[in-house]
Amino acid sequence: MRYKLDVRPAVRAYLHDIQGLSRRGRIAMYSALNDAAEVSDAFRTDPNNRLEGDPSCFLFEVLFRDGRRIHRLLLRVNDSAAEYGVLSVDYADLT
Amino acid sequence: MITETPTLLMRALADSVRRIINSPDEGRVSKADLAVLVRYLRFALSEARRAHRAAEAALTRGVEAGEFRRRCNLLLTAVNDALDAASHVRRVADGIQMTKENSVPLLALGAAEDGLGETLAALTSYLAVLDKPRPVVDWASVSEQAAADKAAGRYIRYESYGEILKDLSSGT
Repeated sequence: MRYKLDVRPAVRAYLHDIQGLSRRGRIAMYSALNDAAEVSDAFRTDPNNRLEGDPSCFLFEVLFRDGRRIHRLLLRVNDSAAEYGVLSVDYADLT
Repeated sequence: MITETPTLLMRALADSVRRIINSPDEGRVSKADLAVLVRYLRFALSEARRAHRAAEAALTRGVEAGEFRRRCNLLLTAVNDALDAASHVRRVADGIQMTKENSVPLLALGAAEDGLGETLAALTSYLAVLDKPRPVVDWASVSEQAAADKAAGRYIRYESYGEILKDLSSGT
């Protein structure tokens, strides 16, 4: 079941303005963001993925290769409106 | 993605090789036995390479980190087992004089060792990326800013991958 993704403007700007990725890497990063919309309930509710100190959020981390480099995209997702089919991406970090 | 079947198979193969090598006949492995042992290791290598290719394909399209780590660790253990088995076979093989008849298995043994070593190095490099610590983030501050953006209705909604692609690929 796919969720609608609400993305914070700061996250949108961060992902849009990232430098140093090839076109292919950029597409992989967008796919990673899209994967967050298709996250399973089992993943979402797994205590290992929940954010300590904030029970309304979970961390979703995706690896992808761009050329020789492997990147990690970390997303913090608020799922307090999951029952209405909406997940909110509050934070993103690409390393 | 890396399935668990090849890794379990590789471990079983490595166990078999060790059992044969550690049998009371150790040191008296015939050339025919050596050929069979090397064939086992070549099979382990082909499974390791297949799993490595699957891991690379997953990385190319993007893969959830936790599941990738679990699969990589599983494969790493299997490849380590296969390399351990190869080292046992190598000890036996070193006692066998290379002749025209057994040169093929001895060369294949070297190729299997090299190939397994390459796979091990690739897996280790994946795990090194995964083992890097996450950035230290002031989550309370993120929550505050997120709440303010939410209250102001500033969030951007994406209902499909197409919308993500269109918006983030735009020049603005």
